[in-house]
Amino acid sequence: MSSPFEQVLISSDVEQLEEADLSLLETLDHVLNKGLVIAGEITISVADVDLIFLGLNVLVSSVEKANEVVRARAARQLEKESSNR
Amino acid sequence: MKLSPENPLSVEPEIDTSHAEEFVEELRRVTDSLPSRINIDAESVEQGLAKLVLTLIEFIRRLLEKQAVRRMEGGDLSPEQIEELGLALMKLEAKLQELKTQFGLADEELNLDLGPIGRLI
Amino acid sequence: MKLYAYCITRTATQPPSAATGMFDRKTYPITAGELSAFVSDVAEEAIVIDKQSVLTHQKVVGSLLDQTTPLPFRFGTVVGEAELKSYLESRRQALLEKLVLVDGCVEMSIKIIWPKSALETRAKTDLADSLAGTQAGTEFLRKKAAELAGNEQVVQQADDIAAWLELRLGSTVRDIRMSVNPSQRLVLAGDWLVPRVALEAYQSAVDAARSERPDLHFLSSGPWAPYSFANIDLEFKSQFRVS
Repeated sequence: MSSPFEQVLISSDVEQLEEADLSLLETLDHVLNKGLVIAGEITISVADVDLIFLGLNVLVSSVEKANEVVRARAARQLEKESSNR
Repeated sequence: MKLSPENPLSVEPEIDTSHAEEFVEELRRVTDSLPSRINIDAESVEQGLAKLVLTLIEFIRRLLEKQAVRRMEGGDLSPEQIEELGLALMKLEAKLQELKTQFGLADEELNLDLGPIGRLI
Repeated sequence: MKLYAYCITRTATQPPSAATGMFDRKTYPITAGELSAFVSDVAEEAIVIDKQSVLTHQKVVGSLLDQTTPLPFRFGTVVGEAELKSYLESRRQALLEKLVLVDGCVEMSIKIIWPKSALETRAKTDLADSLAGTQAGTEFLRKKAAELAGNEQVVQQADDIAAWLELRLGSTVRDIRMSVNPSQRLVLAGDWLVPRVALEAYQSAVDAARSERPDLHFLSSGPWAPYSFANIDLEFKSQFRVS
């Protein structure tokens, strides 16, 4: 294994999803809390961005990684916005 | 969802309700926090710990209240004892309210989901 | 190369009609004996939990429903190929048993909300009412007693609704997962494992139940792959949660 850090999921704020999207909420209720699970996981939130880490053993190293990923995402967003102008 | 020979089982799940807005409100509240969330910025860590501690105290407080009511109704407390017990519990509730406000926690946040046992509260 | 895992089926299953999944990549099976998992490649560092990704996951899993009942993975299951095969091999027995349980079925959901009026009639002790006076403590306890009696009634009502619904629908289903929360507006959330041949009977039972209780607000959804019935390892964890 090259890095103990397996995979990162970033969640956009649920608030940003379409207001009355009942179908999406009902789907979320099924796919996000239920179903087969292979690895244990925890959710960490940095500056209101939720990150799901697969593997309880990566908590310590994942703090820096979390910040890294959030910064990269913010940078990409800025880039996108400036190219849209 | 209507089933018929012309309309075999659709693989797209359908939602059927006459109260969409209500369910949106409730489901958003339920799915708003992802499972086992840990906030790692300093303020949130402190608040997270406060929340855990206050949740436990709240749980015990409610048990004490229940017990006190049971004993009062059971008739084995003198009027003076009832008064003292009531005052103490009243102060405890007020103190806890103060702490909740101090940490900016709402009542619903101090909710311990204990599965089948939990509904004793 | 990491794999995004959608679900598990018996190896004989044809590929899903949804040929592409996450990041528009091709879905394909990873096989270990009689069990196969449908996956697609993940090269990206992160998967955003947004509308598109969630619906993609559901689309791939759902597209297998027309030929079989798969055991769906939770959203966001990303693994290496070796890890996945090892999982299929080590859990072989339990997974096969689950496949037998869900064989020929789909998952249907029902959620029930108390209407607002039920909540308003619950007695609530207002701290401001417990004023200074020689009997403040006693007054406080008496009000609490009334509140607790009211709450017990609510818990009883919630349990009654759950029992009633189980009675109405139980004969059409193979298994049930239900959670009851008397203190919430969303008082009941139930997932039902319904054999496909019983779907019409189930639907009629639901329609009849709805009209029997016009005081309750219902939401029904489905068909889903059996998300609520698939889990083999973490039954304990899902039972006790701290929020």
